[in-house]
Amino acid sequence: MTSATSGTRYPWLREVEAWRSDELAARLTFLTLLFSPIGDWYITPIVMLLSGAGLIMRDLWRSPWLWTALALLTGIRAFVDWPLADNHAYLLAYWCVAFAVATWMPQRESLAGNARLLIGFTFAFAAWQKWTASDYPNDVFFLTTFLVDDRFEDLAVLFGGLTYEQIEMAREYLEGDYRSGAPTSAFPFEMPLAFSLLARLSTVWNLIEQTLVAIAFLAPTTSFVGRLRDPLLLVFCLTIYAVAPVPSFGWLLIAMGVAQAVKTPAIRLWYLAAFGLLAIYYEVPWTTLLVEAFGLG
Amino acid sequence: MSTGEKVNRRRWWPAAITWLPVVLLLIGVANHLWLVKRHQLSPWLGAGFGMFSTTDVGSTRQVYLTTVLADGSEHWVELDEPYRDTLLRARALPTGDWLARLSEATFQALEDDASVTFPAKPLTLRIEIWRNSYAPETLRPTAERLARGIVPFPDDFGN
Repeated sequence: MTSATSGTRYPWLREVEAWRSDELAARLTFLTLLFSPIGDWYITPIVMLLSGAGLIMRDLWRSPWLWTALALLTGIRAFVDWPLADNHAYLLAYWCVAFAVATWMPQRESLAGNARLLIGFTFAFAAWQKWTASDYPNDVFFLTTFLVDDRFEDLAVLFGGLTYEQIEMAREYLEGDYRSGAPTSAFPFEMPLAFSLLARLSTVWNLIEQTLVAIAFLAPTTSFVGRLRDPLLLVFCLTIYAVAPVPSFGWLLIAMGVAQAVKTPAIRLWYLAAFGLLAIYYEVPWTTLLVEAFGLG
Repeated sequence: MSTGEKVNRRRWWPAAITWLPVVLLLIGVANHLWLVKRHQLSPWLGAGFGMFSTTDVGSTRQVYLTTVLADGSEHWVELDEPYRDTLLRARALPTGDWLARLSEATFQALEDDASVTFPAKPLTLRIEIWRNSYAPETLRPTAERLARGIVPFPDDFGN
């Protein structure tokens, strides 16, 4: 399907194609701030009002004052929450600074460059922390996290062949008070092969995918691997956020991805579809529904 | 200063400001790495992008608050709101500064709770932060103490 024919048959598609990359990135950033409000009572309403205004008013997204205000507010939020703020709180602040810089300065193309480097360095450090952690490459992280973190218990039941009772036993064992010495007993049950494979697959997938995204975004844009950056980021978002319950991080990455993406209708539509899919992933408890449907656990 | 130098200076700073977001990210990561190495910051936190990379997440750390009395006995203290926020921050980044803030919050919580009475004069508050780490294959847990602080009770405590 060519761009011309698709635009004739689907007027909305023509509109998507016509958007400037920075405008679409700005609107997705506003949506992110509205879908996932940030901060305490003295920050949340101001950020929501500014984001709502930026979304509704036609040219407000170009305002350097708007982005400076958002950069200050998101920065204050990260500072106030120190050291408990999630990593994407800082990334959001850097991203708003990138918009502020791009709207104040004459070189508007700096937004794409900053987006590419912010994504590249974020993934580079995320991957490096995983490769160098003592308990990540050997699967210990996922073997324990799938058991201890209740956000993943349905996943462990669905794909790991565990029961909720086993998960409860594992938590008692793993979270015990061992100040006076390690436990004398072994792990309370034999781990199912499916659970071990789930942990291995999760480890390997995250290590490889995040490393590739980092390389692709930090490599020259015209290089072979550099040209793969958009598909790699999309694959990351579509797979990881099906499980990881932090859609606001994913939405932010997608907004940044759009800002620097190759401006083809297909890539742009994939980014928009991913943005929507993350909302569905987060709001629909698909692992719980499948566990119930199959009578597992 | 010649006109050419002035023009060059004007051109230089917008180019530097352009990359401010990336510079901020790199400063944040450097600060994170230093705090992890020197002050036991949880690798998940502090702008280093170490989320989902280790079992050393704040929520798996345990904080033990113990009052030591003049008669030698010890009593555990549990903190509720509004003091819990300080506990969570100290647990994530157990520097001397955060441990001091946690001790102040604990003294305040004990003063505010009329139901708390000690059989003898409280002398010191002992703060300990621990984490469990796990052996490969067996997942056998081992506890490791990350930080410890002993703070004398204020002279005017309970007055």
